[in-house]
Amino acid sequence: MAEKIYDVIVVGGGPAGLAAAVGAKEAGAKDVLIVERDVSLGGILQQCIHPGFGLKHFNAELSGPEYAYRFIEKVKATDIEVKLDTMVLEVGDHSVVGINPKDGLFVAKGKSIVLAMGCRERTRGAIMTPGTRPAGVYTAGAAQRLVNRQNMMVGKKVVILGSGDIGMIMARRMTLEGAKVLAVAELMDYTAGLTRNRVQCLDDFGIPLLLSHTIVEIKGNKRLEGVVIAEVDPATKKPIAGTEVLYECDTLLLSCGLIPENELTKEAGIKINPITNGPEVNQFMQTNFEYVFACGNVVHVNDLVDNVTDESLRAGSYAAQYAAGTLPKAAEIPSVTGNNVRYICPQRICPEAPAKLFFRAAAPKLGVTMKVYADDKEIFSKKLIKINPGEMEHVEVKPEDMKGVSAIKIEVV
Amino acid sequence: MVTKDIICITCPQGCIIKVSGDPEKGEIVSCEGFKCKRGKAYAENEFVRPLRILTSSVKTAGAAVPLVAVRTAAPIPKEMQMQGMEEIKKLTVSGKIVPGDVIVENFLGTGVALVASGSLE
Repeated sequence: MAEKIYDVIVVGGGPAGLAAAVGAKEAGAKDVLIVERDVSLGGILQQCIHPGFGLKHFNAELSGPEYAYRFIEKVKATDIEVKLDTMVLEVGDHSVVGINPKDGLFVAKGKSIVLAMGCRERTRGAIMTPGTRPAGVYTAGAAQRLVNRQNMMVGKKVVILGSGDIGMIMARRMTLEGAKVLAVAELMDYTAGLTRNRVQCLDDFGIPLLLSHTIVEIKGNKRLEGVVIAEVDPATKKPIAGTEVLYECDTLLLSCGLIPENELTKEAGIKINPITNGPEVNQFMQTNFEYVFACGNVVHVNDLVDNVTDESLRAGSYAAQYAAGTLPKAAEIPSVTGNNVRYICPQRICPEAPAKLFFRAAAPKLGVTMKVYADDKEIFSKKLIKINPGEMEHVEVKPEDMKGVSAIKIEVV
Repeated sequence: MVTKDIICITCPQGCIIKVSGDPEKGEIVSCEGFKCKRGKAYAENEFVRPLRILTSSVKTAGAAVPLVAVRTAAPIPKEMQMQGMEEIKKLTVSGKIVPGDVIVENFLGTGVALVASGSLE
């Protein structure tokens, strides 16, 4: 019997993986496989029961499970193969090594592979908060899963460190579920998450937002008894002595950023970008291994699932084209970050095809102009009312603007 | 005459919309700064009577998972959210459920249904 070779193997069955598989199928891939480590598809969407998803992609205001359901139904309507409860151990040469209780250890071969592993939360260890190590300290997403999927209340008096979207959304959830949220402390002098979440999750419930504040001590032995919050110098981010205030609480939720989950990527030897912590890609979402594509939060942390979906549908379709041998190939040029631009994704551009460049600002600013340069020549400029690192911007560059050009630069001034 | 700056929560742009009028009488004289129809509708509602979609989860009986996600099919008055949570706590569901299935009709007398947002096999 001839060994089965998939056209596209997708690692991860969250929003990115689902859209990549659907995108690959729609672009004509015959055999598509999704490998997912959880027992159900949908990834993080299943615990994001709040609304606000799908405004761009479905033109409807959906909850996370509703958004996931639409894609799971799409996958079920095709012959896309799904392996659940399956851990991928290694991404190899046109193959993935996986393990599950049914198949045991297996190798699946694919003409192209799409990495869609998503991201995970920064933990207390990663942010090095000093103090004792009592129970009651959770990442916001872990608490979200316990409360929204497992029917377990995590605490009664809560402090949240970090104003990321999940932190603010959990401030509202904990309040609705009957807990008292004393404060959300944020190291920076602006909110990390979306403005709409500050309004509807904090302002609506009168939850204090302490900007330029951080936790300097965690107190308690068995269970958390309190945290000490101090003001920080906005320039140095160092706590200011004498500003410490004790907040008595039994629960601390951490919403201090997300890290793309790239163990498989790194082990495979794929090039990682030090700013995004995800693989470097071109506009086809193709890594430096030309048969490996990547999409969604494993590449760069997105603020909207709609953006993940669009990017992943494209990644899936390009992976299918690669499998069919029809994806364009040309010498690539880099995208370069200028003034007040933290990163651009994709980092490499194939100048023969249009490229949508997504980027984040380094610092928030009002009344700015975004400018795109082909080498030294300005090819695009647009005035923006405001720019915020929490909200991704994008611009499209056409092939005619990239002819004979050695780099594309974006700046915000 | 009252003028309010309202930050739109409909999408991530977070437009600042200036609304003037008499919120007590439900009168709107002007509404500026919105970039879409949803934004205009949101700001006008927010000025007169703020509305929110309430989401939560209800207990299941005889299912593999302990909870299924629910939501109000449309926004309900903002001040009714906690009352809504009290009602949701009392509910238990079972059997096959797909998103959109009505769990409670005319939730809290708002005319809006409480519907499933998750699914149950």
